[in-house]
Amino acid sequence: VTAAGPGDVAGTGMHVTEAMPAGAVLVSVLAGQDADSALTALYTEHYQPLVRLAALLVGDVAAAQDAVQDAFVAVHGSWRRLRDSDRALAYLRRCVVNRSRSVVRHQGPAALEPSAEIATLTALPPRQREALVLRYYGDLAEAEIAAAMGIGRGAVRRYTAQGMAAVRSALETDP
Amino acid sequence: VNQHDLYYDERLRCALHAAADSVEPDRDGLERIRARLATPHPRSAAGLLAALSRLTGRAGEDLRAATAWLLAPPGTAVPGPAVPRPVGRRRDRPIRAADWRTWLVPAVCALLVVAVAAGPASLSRLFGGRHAASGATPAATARSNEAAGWIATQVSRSTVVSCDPAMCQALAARGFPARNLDRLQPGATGPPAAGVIVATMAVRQQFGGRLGFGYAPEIIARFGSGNSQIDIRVVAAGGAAAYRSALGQDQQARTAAGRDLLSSGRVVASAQVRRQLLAGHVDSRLLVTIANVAAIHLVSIVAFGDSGPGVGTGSPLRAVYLAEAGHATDAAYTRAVRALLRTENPPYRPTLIQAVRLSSGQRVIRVEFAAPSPIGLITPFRAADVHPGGGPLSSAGPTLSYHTG
Repeated sequence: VTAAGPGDVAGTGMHVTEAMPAGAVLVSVLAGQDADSALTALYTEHYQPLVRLAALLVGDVAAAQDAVQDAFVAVHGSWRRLRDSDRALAYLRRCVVNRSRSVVRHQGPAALEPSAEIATLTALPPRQREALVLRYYGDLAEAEIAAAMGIGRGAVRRYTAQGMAAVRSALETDP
Repeated sequence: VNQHDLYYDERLRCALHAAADSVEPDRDGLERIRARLATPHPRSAAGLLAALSRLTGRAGEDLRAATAWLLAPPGTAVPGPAVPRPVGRRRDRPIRAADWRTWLVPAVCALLVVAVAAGPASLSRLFGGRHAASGATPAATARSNEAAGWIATQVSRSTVVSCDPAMCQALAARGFPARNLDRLQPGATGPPAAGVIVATMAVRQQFGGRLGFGYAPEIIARFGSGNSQIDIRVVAAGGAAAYRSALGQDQQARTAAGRDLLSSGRVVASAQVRRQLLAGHVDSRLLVTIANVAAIHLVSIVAFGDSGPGVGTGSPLRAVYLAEAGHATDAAYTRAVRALLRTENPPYRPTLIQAVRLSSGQRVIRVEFAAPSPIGLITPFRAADVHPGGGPLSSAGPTLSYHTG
């Protein structure tokens, strides 16, 4: 997530007058908006990073885009519940992780790039892979990863440790 | 956390970011989301239709039984229908006419309600059974037809096309050579032995992510969205990384060739055409062809076309509209261009050379090459290769500014 600077927020007709962390800008912009405007603002800010996140999880851009688009549709449908909270992005992220998990369950895991690191990551169990992608690509805190995966923080620590141990072990044998 | 752990943490972080940076989502994401919002959820619709199907099936049985009863002489017993009966009734007991009067009206009402709720199209689909049997929705069938039609007219007939059995059948029906159709066997997940693969839902499920990031990274045409989406992908024989690298070099060569064309003084081009040439968006065969024509006649590049539906500028433009610079394009010019281009050998022989009239009234020549665009036909200009006095483009032909492979 990049920091938003001063300027128009695309599609919302609202103006951001000072630079602040993107999430904070977005939440303040979204508050009080209808679902369609909120969807546009969320899309502008988060669609590309979420597609990339999903692509790392499922290994296919088309499937990743489908998953993220599904997530946006779900957020739109739940906007009445979300509009007064700051959970829009967290909900979106969780939807993406859930749908990506479903894609992997049906299609099997695939590697995004033929690098040793990504190949190793792809071979991990889904939960370990999710924990590592959310941590090392998403740069999320433990609590945010837990929310995105729908598990507890202890489980996040466990999956991360197990996953990282497997990655280290694999990369040590294939440096 | 020790240095050893940090090293692997950082290594994984860098690899993830590098892989993610290579992902460029399509620009029509918001439109697709809005389109999904505007249509009912597929699973809900499927569930509703299934329920309606069951209901109409039962109502149909009731109606047939009721008709039999109506046609039977008064007081005659008719066979019992397969409907729930009151507890305690014997299974083999015939139903009397009086019992059926209580069923007839609800059955007819149920049919009417279903007809109104489901609409004529849904009912015809339910009762017709053709789509239900094949598992294809009308939208999926339409996309499949579009994709098959596009491949049959745009993909080179000498290209081997991998496809699922249904798509291969559709292509063969449209005249695509059967010997160049590679029917994908169920369960096969290895690299397709083809130049192009038609990624239908069945094929995507069969190959998973191996298609997009391994065997066939480039999409040259896309039809539909969601489950009915069909991607026409170029198979990367040497793997995705090698393909992307070659594609990048090819685009550089095309950019250099486009720049040479524009600076040759032999072509007239609009701002849009100049942008496309300088961005390397034009197929290398077209660049060579234009250079050949320009070497003999001053040429006006009116427009480029046909990059493939649904892929924006991701795929090279394979068609061009040419006109004689400074003159109206007459029959003699068309004949001269046609004669020139027909002497070319593959891969520089166009699949189409056609005189057309634009909506503005201007007469132009459309020159078109088949998909997929080859990579590596031309290599970037190197100053050391040019003989003293050789210009970037001259009447000697295209090889002065870039080397054809």
